[in-house]
Amino acid sequence: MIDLRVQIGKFIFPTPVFVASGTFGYGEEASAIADLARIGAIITKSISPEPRVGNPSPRLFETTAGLLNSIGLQNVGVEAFVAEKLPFLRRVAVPIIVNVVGKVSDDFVRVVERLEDEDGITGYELNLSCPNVKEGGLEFSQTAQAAAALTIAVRRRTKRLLMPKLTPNVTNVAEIAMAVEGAGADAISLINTLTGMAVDIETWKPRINTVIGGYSGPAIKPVALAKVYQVAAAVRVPIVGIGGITCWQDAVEFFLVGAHAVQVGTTNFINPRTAIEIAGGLHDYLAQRGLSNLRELTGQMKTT
Amino acid sequence: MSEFFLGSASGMIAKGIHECPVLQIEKVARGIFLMRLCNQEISRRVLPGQFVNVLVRDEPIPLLRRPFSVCRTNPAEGTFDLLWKIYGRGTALMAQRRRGDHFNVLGPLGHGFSISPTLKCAIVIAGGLGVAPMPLLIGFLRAQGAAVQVLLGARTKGELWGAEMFEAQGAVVRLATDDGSNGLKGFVTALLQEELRQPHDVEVFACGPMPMLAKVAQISLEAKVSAQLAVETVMGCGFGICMGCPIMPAAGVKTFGRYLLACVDGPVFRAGEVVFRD
Repeated sequence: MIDLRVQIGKFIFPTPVFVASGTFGYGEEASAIADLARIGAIITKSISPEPRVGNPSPRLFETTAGLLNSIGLQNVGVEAFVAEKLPFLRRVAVPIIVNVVGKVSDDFVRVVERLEDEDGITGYELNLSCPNVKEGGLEFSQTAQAAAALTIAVRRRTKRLLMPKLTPNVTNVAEIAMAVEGAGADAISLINTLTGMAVDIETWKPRINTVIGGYSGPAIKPVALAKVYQVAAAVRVPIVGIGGITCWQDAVEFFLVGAHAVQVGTTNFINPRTAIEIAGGLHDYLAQRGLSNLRELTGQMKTT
Repeated sequence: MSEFFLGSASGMIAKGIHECPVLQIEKVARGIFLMRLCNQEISRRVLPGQFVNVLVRDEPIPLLRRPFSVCRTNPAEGTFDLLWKIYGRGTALMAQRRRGDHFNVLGPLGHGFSISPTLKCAIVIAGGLGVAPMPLLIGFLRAQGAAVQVLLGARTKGELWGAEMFEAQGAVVRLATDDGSNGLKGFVTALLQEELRQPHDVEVFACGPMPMLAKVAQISLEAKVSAQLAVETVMGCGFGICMGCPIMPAAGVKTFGRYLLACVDGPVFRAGEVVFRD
């Protein structure tokens, strides 16, 4: 009997394949195309205390097997999220993790406090690391102290699953991971986008409005695997691996280097059913190998 | 495999995602290709101005789907046509495909043109590849007996497509080219300016590059004529999850200051409703 369920913190997810923040809107947009109830968890668009307009166009530029973005954390703000987006998500039997973003520690606390009494939320992912906004997030992810202080501040307000999302754009990601683990994180997700840019050689202008943006897609998978591997060696809390996952084979690699669950990101833009299809592929892979549980894969890469 | 995953890894296709056989691909003008694909659901359901998002191939280069307006349909035969111009790697690869190949197509997507059942007289204006959604639109307009005038613009005569077909559909066609190689020398918007000089009970339907749409909107607003304009823009997903195709509402509109998305709020917008800018 194959069991794809995975426990993270106190919560058991139906599958270990989630959809990543910023790549699945508020869920409802994809509901005509994908059966949301078969996704392991939906991680919402980053939610800030107040609505955010986002950046002007161009927000996207496609690179070789990758994507640059500078969406600018456009979101409806926490009040409209509760009033307009959450009711739909509650009706779908899928775990919801709200990704939280802010400019200062208090912003994160405000969003979490507002959501604490709302039903239908499994936990919070802290966006410490979105590199494409000139203000926002950047500082929290850059030092262990700032990341830990923010995690502690939010931890005091919630017993729900708390999962800081780490940036790869630091010298030593394991050090940041240990700091947020020590600060009370139940799990750690990584990686957020790499920083990247591209230039139009006809106009000599940058390809996206913020010049430097977030770089995602299949091209970044080796970087993501290396970061997950490094963090897995440094912490005991479950790791949710993210970065360039397009198929179940990619997901298996993340499990082998130490992930307990994964998130599908950019590939949702091409096929919003990918997380469901990957779960099916993992099921068959375990069956073929005579395994019954993903715990038998996690961290089992052979280095000798 | 457990019940939970049946129909996922087994390759069953979700609502909205279709494997479409290629029936025909032909070059119809300079750098411009027309392809006929087979799919009953898209053929029957698509409305003028809606689009489909085409996966160029299974490998992640190019990564994203490419959006195309549905050009025309034949619901009896379950086919639909797409028109495109070679801009880059994705559109070039598409042109290399042959009859018997398949494309994975997501759609139909977006809000198309809305056609009042009482509309009697329409001006359809297209610049460059903006001609793509017009055969389907003109078919709907003519089916309800509306008189249709088509204003068609391109850089040069070799890039004009559709005039004869529009005439066969019962429309009156006027042409403009940047180089004067066919029709008026200049922008197609000059023809619109001329047509709207006299007061006129008409609705304008437009598609083309942003500067052209901005001009069409301005001319229509000045003439106090209702206009619907379809934007051409880069999109990430085509159904609202990536938020990669922002369109700013016009000053004074209730939603000013909050971006709309071309893919789900459009691609058709009304003149005065949004700012037509790249």
